[in-house]
Amino acid sequence: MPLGGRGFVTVGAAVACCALAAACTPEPVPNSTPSTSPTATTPTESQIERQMRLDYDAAENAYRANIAEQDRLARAGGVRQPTAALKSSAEGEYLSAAVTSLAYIKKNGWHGTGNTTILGVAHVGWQKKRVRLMSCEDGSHLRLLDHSANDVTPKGDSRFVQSLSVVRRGGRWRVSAFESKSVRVFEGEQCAA
Amino acid sequence: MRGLILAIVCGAMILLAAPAPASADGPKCNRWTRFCKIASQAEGADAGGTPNAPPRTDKSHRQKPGDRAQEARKEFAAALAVYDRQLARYKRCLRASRNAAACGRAPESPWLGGDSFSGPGNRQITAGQAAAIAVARLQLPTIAPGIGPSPDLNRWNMAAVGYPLWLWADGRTHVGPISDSVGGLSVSLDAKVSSLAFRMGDGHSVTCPGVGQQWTTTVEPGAKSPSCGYSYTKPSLPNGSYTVAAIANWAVTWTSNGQSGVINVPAVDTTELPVGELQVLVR
Repeated sequence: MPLGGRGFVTVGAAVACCALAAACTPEPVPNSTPSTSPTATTPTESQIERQMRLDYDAAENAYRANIAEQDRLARAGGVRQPTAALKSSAEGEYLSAAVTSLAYIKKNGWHGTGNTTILGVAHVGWQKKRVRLMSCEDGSHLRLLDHSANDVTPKGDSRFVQSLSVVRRGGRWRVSAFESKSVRVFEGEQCAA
Repeated sequence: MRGLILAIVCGAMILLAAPAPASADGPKCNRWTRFCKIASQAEGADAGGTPNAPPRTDKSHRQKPGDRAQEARKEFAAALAVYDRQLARYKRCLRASRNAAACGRAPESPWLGGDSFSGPGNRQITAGQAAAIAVARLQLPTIAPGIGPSPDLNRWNMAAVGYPLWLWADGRTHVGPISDSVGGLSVSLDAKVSSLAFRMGDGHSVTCPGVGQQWTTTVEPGAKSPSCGYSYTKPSLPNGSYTVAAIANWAVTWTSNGQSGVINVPAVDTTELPVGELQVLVR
């Protein structure tokens, strides 16, 4: 039969906060040894770390699948509406931007050649239902051709470091948002490792 | 209330100073068409767009990032100073008062509330610091002192001198694993009660090797706890009750960015226990 519940106080939060400030010295609590003892070790994979790894892998797979589908559609002459395969791995502004480009290809009667080269994908941020990836996309080998096979590839940068938000909804990971940084070379970029 | 306001203000500042997530109005470029847009252009824009159009930014409504960061740092430093004063006041109250509940809640750190989406750009703290912040955020459950058999079970409503009492941690003794994201670092936490001690109120203390074993009605009368127990030698009655304090130590194991460690978080709970003597008349 438990007693207690009266006069309860948890001083733990205050003590943990104190670890942040050098000027703050926690009051010692009798019969306990509050201390911070970080040690550099090689930890075994915890349940959360395993979940993070699985999430990162699933998110990266969704991203790579979407890039492959975009490439396929570009080579096929573009589309005006997103295909089921595009929608299964992308949503929101990312999907919108992809379809915008594919519709532009379609509108002009062009078609593409080549494949996007993904030099690497860095895993740079994890939350329970959202991860952030950084991808080195090299589109320098991509070409757009018109009906007469003339190269009509717009001039401009073709190598981008894409910062991607990938979200999980209904058990599926989809690329949702992105930002681009144009680069001349990928050396030194996190995703180029 | 002040803590809440502080947390909101600081959260806003941290968000302001944090790097923009991927959904912000940064340039969005396509490798096929090789044009870049900012988000406001992409929304509802003509499908053709303008190839190679440079990213547009509305500078008239924006501060420079450097100014923003500097301003946020100043405000954060001010908030931290306020927090330090509040924490010092709270600690003085804890030292002075027997009833810690009268001191209210511990002040909330400016670090709390409003962490941004994790990413490499805001990785300005060490893994250990991130862990300390994550542990400070952690809401560990209460651990009431379990004492049995309860005095409520006998007609005198008291524990008896010489009778073996069982002591244990009443409540969850394991939390996790859970994860948090602090300043761009992901932190995994796993908290367990590593030790339990009781101050019995009569000047004696008991240290339990584990979390104790709960007394149940199936326990043989007079049986001692196999792991953690105590028998009073003096009554508290008729002068009142003993104040029994359970001091639990939460060992919070953290892993972050390839490092790991343990942060110990003590938690204290008290209860009043009347202890009397039972006279046996032998004829």
